[in-house]
Amino acid sequence: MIRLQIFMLLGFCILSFSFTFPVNAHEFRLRANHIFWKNQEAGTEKEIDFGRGVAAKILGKYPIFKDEEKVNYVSQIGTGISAQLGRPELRYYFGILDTEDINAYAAPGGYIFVTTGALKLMRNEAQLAGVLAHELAHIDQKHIVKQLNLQSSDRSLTSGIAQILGGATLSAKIALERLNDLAFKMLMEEGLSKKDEADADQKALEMLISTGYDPQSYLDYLLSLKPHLEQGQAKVLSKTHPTIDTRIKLLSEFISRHELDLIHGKKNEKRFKQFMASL
Amino acid sequence: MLLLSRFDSKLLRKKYYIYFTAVIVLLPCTFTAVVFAKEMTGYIKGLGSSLREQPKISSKVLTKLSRGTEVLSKETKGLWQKVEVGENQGWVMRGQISDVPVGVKKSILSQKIRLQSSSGKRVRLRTFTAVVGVRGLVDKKGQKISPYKTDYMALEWLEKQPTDEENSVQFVTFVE
Amino acid sequence: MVRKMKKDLSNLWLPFNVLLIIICITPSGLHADDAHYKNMLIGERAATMGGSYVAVSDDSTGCYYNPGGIAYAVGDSLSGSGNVMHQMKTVYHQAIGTKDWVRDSEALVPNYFSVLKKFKSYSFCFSYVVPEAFIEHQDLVFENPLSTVKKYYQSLHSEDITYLMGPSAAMSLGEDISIGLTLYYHYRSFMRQQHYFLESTDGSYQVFYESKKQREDGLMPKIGAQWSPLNLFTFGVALDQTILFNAPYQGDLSYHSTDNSTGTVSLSTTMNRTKTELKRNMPLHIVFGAAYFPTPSQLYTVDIDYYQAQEKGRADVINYSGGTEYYINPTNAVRLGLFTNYTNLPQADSSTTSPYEYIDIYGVSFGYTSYSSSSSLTFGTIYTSGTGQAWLYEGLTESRKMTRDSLTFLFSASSNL
Repeated sequence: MIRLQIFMLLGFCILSFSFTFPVNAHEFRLRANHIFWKNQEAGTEKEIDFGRGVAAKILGKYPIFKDEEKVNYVSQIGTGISAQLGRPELRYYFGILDTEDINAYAAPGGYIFVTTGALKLMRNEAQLAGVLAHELAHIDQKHIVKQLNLQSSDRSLTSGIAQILGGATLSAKIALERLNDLAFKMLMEEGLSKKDEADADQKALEMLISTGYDPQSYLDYLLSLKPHLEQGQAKVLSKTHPTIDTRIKLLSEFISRHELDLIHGKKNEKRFKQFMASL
Repeated sequence: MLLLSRFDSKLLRKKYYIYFTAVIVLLPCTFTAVVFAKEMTGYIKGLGSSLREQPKISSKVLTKLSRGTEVLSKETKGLWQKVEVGENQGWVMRGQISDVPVGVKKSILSQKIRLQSSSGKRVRLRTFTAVVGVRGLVDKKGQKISPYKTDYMALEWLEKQPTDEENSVQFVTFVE
Repeated sequence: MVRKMKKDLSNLWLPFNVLLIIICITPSGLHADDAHYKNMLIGERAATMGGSYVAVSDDSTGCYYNPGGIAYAVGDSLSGSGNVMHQMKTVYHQAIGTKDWVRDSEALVPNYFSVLKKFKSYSFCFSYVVPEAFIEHQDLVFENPLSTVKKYYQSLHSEDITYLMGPSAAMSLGEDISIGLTLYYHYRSFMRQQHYFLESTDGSYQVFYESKKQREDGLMPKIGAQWSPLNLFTFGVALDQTILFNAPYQGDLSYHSTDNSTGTVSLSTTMNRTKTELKRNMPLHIVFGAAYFPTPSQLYTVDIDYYQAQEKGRADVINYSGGTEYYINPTNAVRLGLFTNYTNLPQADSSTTSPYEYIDIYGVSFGYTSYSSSSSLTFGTIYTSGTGQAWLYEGLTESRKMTRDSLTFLFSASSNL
């Protein structure tokens, strides 16, 4: 009797096991607190504090454009995308830099800037959305923080940057200032890795599709940058990003792989011109 | 509760050892099939996320999912994830799911402080100078070591600009 | 010795229920409570989950439950816990005539401390555990409890604390299996002092003093393994036994009495010191466990502990325990556990000699933990209760109902290193 019962139980359990697919041997052991803090990495507050310093430097280099109507428009587009696809724990700020240079910048913690030069080059709202989405992707994927090479091994729950940012000592403050300088230099001179840029481009396209914009418009914008590289307006951009041809090639591959060329999203050309015509 | 020390017969005891071990150890297993095929809990990152019938942007929207909603990922197809939310099952773009629970918005004290001084720049310079001055890292004029200028006033102006997530999402859904 | 004493007393005063009971039922054994294996729960998470931890064991508490599990620890850590306020109350119902006899034990014990360090695919740990701590102080004073007794005073102080400390090491053998070993040094210190004074109305008196001291030195190796053949499940097994190599006992007894009843004062005095080796044969302990991790917020685990008695007069025991952990959010978690704490004494029969206690205990635990990025704080409470029978003194064939309740508040903290 007991033997029968045992066999029945075993049989039932084996049957129920057949529905499980082993994924990763021991990832399932990690408890909610481990996952949460592991993903915090630098710690959001610390990331914001750090990014703020970088943003201040960007604003130190380029004057801020204070036309509230235009800034509000850019901010609304940016916030509309970040509210749906950005990191929910960050507040994103979108600013315009008053310069003929064509570029867009992202500082960790949610600060995104686009230049008036770039805005003048854009033809429609989808292109603006694409550029902002690209910068948003850099912040979401923490490309800048990771590039600064201050991540410790996966298993540890505190990272190098957190140790520096968390430090209240004098040397920590100085190290923080150095870090800020490094980040700024990276944005202005070296740029991020090709992989990160390609990643940001792809994520930008995903965001455009998700919010109903036309993805092809983003590629059109990249193409329109080409003549300006020679004229020097996009000097910083070309120094810090892979070549336009490379970017377009990678994006085209991405589009065909996911059959995105069939999508026709909105461009909102009229509304864009309504706000940006006076530039 | 069966107390094994009560049993005199060794054989009977052994039977019950096996029986209880089997029951107690294997009982939780029976829940497996009922609950999870492939575990992956995710959380919706954004406001106004749409759960679609098919993995296509043109597909019908089954329901809207609010921020923080817990979803169960079942399948991945390109840029789309098939998820289960309560009673519903549908597709969501992968960029909308985060594997970390959604927390509150963070902001730091500096963002909240509105500097009253006419020249915020000087305040910060002084602070920094004081900091580095001690270490002898500042030059005679008291200028910062960092070769880069900063503009916190502009930053503060930017941070003061109003933002409204709900309205912005509405703004972005507009189609001409 | 005790028997002789009882006889003397029964000659002197009849009936003598009240005092006999008090004198004789205070345990003459050398242990506070070695009839139960789960008097105290150990660890930050484990204690709040009913001590069911063999299949989980993936932090520094794992050194004690299943050293194999520490191979899966997430990072280096330090953990310390204390049983703040461990109170135990034993009531022998209607033991003194119609009155209950109540004994209290109270201890404030930091009962676990450990440090865990990972190195490549190995984990190393050092831990300090206090698995048993029983402290009892009792002072009774009776004025004219009987018509023939003018004053009776008794004082009893007893402390029985066991300590374990030692290193652990674990390694993973491939994706699914890990093994580990802990080597504890076992040290136990038992002390009991009993003193009573009895003055009768005719001027006779008795003075009794007994002091018992027992020390144990030994080793407790513990080997454990964990196996995860299926996603979301782990199975654990661990085996240990304490082997004593040194167990000196010293007992001092002095008894002095006068007898005025016959008209002449007769004096009898005894003073005695005994010194010997009293090594217990500790049980072989095997534990099986299973754990189910359905989501990062939930955990269910069950354990079966099997103790095979190695001493005559002791029975095998199987204890069951189960626990669950639920994360309300990544920074707050709650736990619940249930466990049994059965006696290792066989059921009383015609050959049983008193004093004898037969009581099975059941427990429930509850805990709350607050997490931050690198540390955690846990507060918990454990309540146990049991009902049984006590054969209080020789000659009394009836047993008395006894109940034992205990309440423990625990506090624990861990930090990532």
